[in-house]
Amino acid sequence: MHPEQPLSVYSLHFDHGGSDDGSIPLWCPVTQTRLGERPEWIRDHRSEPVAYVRGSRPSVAVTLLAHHFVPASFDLSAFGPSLSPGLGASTSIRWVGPHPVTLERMAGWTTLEVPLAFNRPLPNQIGAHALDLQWVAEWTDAEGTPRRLFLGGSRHELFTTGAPMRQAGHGGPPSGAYAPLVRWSSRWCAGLESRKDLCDAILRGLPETGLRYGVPAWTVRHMLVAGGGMCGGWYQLFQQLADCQGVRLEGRTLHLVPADDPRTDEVRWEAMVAVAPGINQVEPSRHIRMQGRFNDCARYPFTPEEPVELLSRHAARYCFMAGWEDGHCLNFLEDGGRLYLYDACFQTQAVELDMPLPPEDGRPVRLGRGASFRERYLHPTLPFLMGTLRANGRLWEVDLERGEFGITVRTEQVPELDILWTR
Amino acid sequence: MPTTREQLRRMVAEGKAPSGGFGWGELMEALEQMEQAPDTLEAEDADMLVGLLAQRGRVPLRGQPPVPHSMPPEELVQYRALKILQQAGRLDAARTSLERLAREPVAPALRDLARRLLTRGAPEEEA
Repeated sequence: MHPEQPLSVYSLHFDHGGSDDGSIPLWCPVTQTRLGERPEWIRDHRSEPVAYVRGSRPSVAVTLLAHHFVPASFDLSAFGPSLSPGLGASTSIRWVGPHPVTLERMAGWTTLEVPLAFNRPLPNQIGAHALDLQWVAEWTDAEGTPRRLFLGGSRHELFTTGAPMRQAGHGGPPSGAYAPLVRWSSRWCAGLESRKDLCDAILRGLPETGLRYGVPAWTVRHMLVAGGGMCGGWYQLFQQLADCQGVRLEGRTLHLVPADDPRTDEVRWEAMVAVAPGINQVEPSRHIRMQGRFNDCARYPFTPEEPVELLSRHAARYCFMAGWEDGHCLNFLEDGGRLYLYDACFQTQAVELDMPLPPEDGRPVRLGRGASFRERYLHPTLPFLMGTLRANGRLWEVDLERGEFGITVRTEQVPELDILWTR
Repeated sequence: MPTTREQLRRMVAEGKAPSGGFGWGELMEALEQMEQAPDTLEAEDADMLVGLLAQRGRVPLRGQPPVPHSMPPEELVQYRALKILQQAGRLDAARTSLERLAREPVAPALRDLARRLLTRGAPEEEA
């Protein structure tokens, strides 16, 4: 505290819930509490970020602390630099006031009856800002002399987002968003406008989060606390980052459909296999990797009777098992008549596809060799399919618990494969 | 030696899990058998699946815990239990769990399935 100051700004509350001023509730993922349950800024004690939809005009609830010899009535104002690039950071403007104030007591706290509306809106673009406010009391004394008293400065981390969020989106906090997500997305997307540009910027920014692929966490909050997650968490994280800027994405889970051949006991296919370690990993995560001897097939298709060369490799890979019980979670953006795929775990760029948004109906879809989803996404991202196949006079079975990985075939060599989509 | 299916029935009915817990592969295989032949589902099986839903898919496991990619193991157990009950036309007894799953922050696929089943109320629909 500053006991030498006769009067000071004690606390400022932005997400006070008193008006629909475009404020976005921010939540702490550690405690699952709303930062705006208490004033975000308390002198020398607390300084939490605040967020608004761009172009909003905030209002702030103000509490003053008086010590001694202060005027009973005065005008309260706050000055600070403009946040608009056009005006320049050196231009000081009056953000708040002059607002007439009469103190409830000459020593102690006074909370103003109504929140004070900002005189001008926030920048009409996405961004992360540092808002420095200088608070002053102005009055005219008994001799008619204008007086001015400095009440202290406050500094605020402030985010402006692209558009209102979806209310209580799946997996998010009860309202608004987790604070780290708004901070990241507002910084990465600063100044951008198109939905595609926003999603691209978010995908590029993801490594900066430090969150890793392959950590056993499937919700956004759990990911933020644990330091990473599985694809089931990553696609929700990506959706929420985009939603912070008002962009809605469609989440889908890709499943492989297995086909048993009862005559030969073969199964095509049992798993999709990824070899890349995933975001922020230098090697496949020990939590979920399959480590052992993989039998990569040199060519495919082949008949059980003809000899085929198998390249035996000791490796660590990810196996996405076929069927309902496993799959890989992705996001899609429809923009300008085009469809873009975003894989937060394995891709650093959007994949443009020549296909409609896949329905999440769980119905099998056959993919031929020329399908853009195969060529542009599956082949580079999930480059092997694992199957129980007959070759060189024996049945090569898949049994992950026993470390048997059947035969792995290059996805691009497979003429047709069946997949299905769920949400 | 009781089958995994019988052990699951006993765990739900009497609260007695096999010492050391279930193997994940055996658990999935038992569920798959029921999924492939829903017409043969007995009343004890349906009760067991409803019980698995009621205990939020928590099953004592032995060995290395599984790490599915798209949803946690407990939610995967519930997902498969729901699908079997749906195929067998035995969803009525699972309504409380359906309502819970439809509102809790579980995996989107599981919540979506629960919501669709609640809305349709028709057990013969394929998810």
